[in-house]
Amino acid sequence: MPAQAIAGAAPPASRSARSQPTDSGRNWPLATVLALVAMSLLVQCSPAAQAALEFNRAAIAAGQWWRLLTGNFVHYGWLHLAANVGAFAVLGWLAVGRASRAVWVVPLSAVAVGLGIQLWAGGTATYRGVSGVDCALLAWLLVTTAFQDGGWKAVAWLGALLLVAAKSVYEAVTGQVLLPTSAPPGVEVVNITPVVGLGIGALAAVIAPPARQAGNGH
Amino acid sequence: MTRRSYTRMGSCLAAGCAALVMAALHGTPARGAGLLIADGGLGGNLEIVEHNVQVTINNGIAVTEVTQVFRNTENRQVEALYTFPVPKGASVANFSMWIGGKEMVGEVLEKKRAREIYDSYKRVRRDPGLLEQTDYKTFEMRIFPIGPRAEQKVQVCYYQELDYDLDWATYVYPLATTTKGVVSSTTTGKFALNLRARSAVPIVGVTSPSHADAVVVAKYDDVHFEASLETKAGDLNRDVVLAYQVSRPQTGIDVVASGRPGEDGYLYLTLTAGEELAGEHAGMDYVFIMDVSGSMADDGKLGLSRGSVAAFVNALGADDRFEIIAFNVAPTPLFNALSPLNEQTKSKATAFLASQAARGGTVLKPALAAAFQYAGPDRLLNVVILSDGMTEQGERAALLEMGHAKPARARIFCVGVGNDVNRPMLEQLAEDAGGLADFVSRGDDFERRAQAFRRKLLRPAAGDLTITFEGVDVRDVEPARLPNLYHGMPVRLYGRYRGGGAVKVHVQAAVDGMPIQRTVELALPQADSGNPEIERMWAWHRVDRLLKEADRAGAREQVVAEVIRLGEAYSIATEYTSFIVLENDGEYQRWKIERRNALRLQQDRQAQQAVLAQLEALRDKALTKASQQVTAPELSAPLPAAANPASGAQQTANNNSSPPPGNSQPGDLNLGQPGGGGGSGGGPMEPLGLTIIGALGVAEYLRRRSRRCPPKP
Repeated sequence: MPAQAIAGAAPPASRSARSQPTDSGRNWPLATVLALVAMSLLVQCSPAAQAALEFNRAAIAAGQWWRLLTGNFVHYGWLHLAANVGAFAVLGWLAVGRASRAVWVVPLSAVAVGLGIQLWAGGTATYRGVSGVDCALLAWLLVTTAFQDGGWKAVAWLGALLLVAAKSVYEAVTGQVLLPTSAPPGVEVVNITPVVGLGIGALAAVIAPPARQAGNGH
Repeated sequence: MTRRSYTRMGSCLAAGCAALVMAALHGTPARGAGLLIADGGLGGNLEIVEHNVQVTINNGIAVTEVTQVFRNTENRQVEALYTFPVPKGASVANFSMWIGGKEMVGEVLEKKRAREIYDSYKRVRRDPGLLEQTDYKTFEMRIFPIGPRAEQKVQVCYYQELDYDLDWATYVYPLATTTKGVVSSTTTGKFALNLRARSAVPIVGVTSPSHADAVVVAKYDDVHFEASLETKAGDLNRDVVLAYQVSRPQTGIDVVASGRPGEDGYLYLTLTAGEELAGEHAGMDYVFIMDVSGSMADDGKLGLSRGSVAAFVNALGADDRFEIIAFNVAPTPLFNALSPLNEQTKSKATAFLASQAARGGTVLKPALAAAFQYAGPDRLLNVVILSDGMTEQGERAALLEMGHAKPARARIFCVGVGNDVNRPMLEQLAEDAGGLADFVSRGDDFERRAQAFRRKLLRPAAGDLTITFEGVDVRDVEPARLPNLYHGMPVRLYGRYRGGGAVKVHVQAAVDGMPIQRTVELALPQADSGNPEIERMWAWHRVDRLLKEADRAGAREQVVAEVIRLGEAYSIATEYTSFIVLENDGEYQRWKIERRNALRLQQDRQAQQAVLAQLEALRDKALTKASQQVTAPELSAPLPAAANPASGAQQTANNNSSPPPGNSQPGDLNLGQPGGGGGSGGGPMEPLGLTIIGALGVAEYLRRRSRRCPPKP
């Protein structure tokens, strides 16, 4: 992996240079994240768009396959959106700041979450929320940070990932929700989506890890 | 002159039962719940000296137990013939007589056989009793002999589903209806009606539109209340109407079950629309077709019709248009066009309604055809027929065909007026035309019913409804095809299931044309003795469907055997099965009649006793806090805390960690469209995830800071 792909791999030469993305001077990954945030906000303003984009098992069976992907960017009300998309914006910014290739985790995990619901959550007829993608970005960040930091920090980051994963698997197996979530009242939390998201994110980081940062003291 | 008419003339027609003080004060001519005549060619003079009604309502299913004591006022024995109407959708489920001071419970037999057995006893002047269904709404009870000056106690029990309108469940005890012409009723004696109710959905209001000043209500907690009416003198001329309002904030299902260990169980599921399904509505067109034929002169039906149409018109919206067509043998339109609602059209409508008189025959078809002329391509046309459904016999098939062939953007709604209505015809006409049938009684609150009905007219909350089960073998579901889900009116489903355990209930529906699917997970018990009434209601629905399907096909022969089997197995009186009461158990054995009903009734009564005990426990607890009773009018709105002696009782209920049998299982579904919440979603942004994101953010900040300011060597 080229060193340039890692944000901050080389000390910035100037203040203006620091504000630029580090890989090839292009900002399209961050722009993509921001575009998805904007799209989520716009979709929230249009009930018709929400209906056309949410995960809907019956509609998917009728051939509307895009819902596997787009269902992640539709939410149940503004609070649900604020919590999920807020986290997505922060995680996306951190991830693409680390490596522009991280942006591919977003569509990959979004489709995987959709397929996961389709395959393993048969009782779920409709689904909305970017939480699965959030989990994927979280896992990707934890694994890449562990790789880059190494030592006891790596143990800490991987420990955090294992804690989240254990909790998610427990919830998926038992059907219980251990901690209060951002899901609004009346919305059934689909416990398979964090598991799928975490798995995809961790897998992506392991298969194509960012290069270990040079000069970070390890 | 026929023997029967001679008998009638010679008999004292003492119909009905007891009395309401208010009616006596008004001094109006009264009619009873039924007609009691001394029959059989012997003449005689009979009266009802006691009339006690016990009603138990369990999640919208009412069990009405009517106990009456007849007295022969003459010095000779007579045969009593008591004809009585039952409310729409009611199923007679028991008939008992007291013989020698002991209650003898009736058994259900094939109608012809029951009649033969009855006649064989009558010839030797012994004590049989026979209860038969004479048509879709009327039952006859024959008792022989009633000795000179003797009293005879009988009990009839019937089950019914309550009507729901705008979340108001309405119970009607019919008193304003006679079944055999006009009779006077000046009965005296004790009349008592006691109603106990429990509901899975919280009860927020109780009222009696018919007897607000006489009914006493005590509400013990959010899901239990008791109401009573008692008087000792007076005339009865109005139905007793009691209504309670339930509130389910979110669309959901509630399930109760019944069954014995080792046997297949029964489930009763209600799907109720919540607030998230309410929406904005565009204007629609309404044509009110009002029956002004001669039959509408009976029982004040025309007055009911006038009041209902006026209330419906007043409930219309600003963007709606309407027309009124009065009909007997020919239609008479009011405007000859669809008109908007304003002061001018409203006053014209009022004058038009007032000018109508009941006369002539009933030919609905031309009026319906005239109404269909108003159907247009851009607005929905609601044709609302207000009638008793007593159309010419030859016209009914043609009407049903018209209902099928209605214009694309038209629906037919039928409002049966009064208790003496052709319910099956009106229900079938509405059902076939994508609408609903509703029924108004003399004791009803027109305004409330009209508003509720209009809300249902606006649009169904959800259509193309299907409910499927996963995880438990659920079968024999009734109805096989679910109706649309309307606001304020739950969809009911009965079924049988094998085993028990966790079950996923999948609900699919179309909301605003958008397919919606929701799932809720519940547990069905292996056994539950608390809701035996749903077993008979399941069988009754099955019988009802079989007969309706056979009528549509034009031949009943193929279903009669199954109807008789179901009637005998579940002890319900049908057009093909009757109740017979014999003198003692030996006589039942002699005729090889199984005591199925005796066993079933025992189970039913145990369950009712459990409800009663539950209510009494709640009442006792509540009375320790406050011995305050509130009359019905004060309870029509949500109960104020001070007026509701339920605080202590509620605590008791909540503290009961082991729910008694009969409890329901609720499950929220939320069929809301996007923006309204509901469905399934992800929510990982819980404290753990946020903490880790925060840590990552801090780490990133420190990382970048260290890059900007590298540590000095």
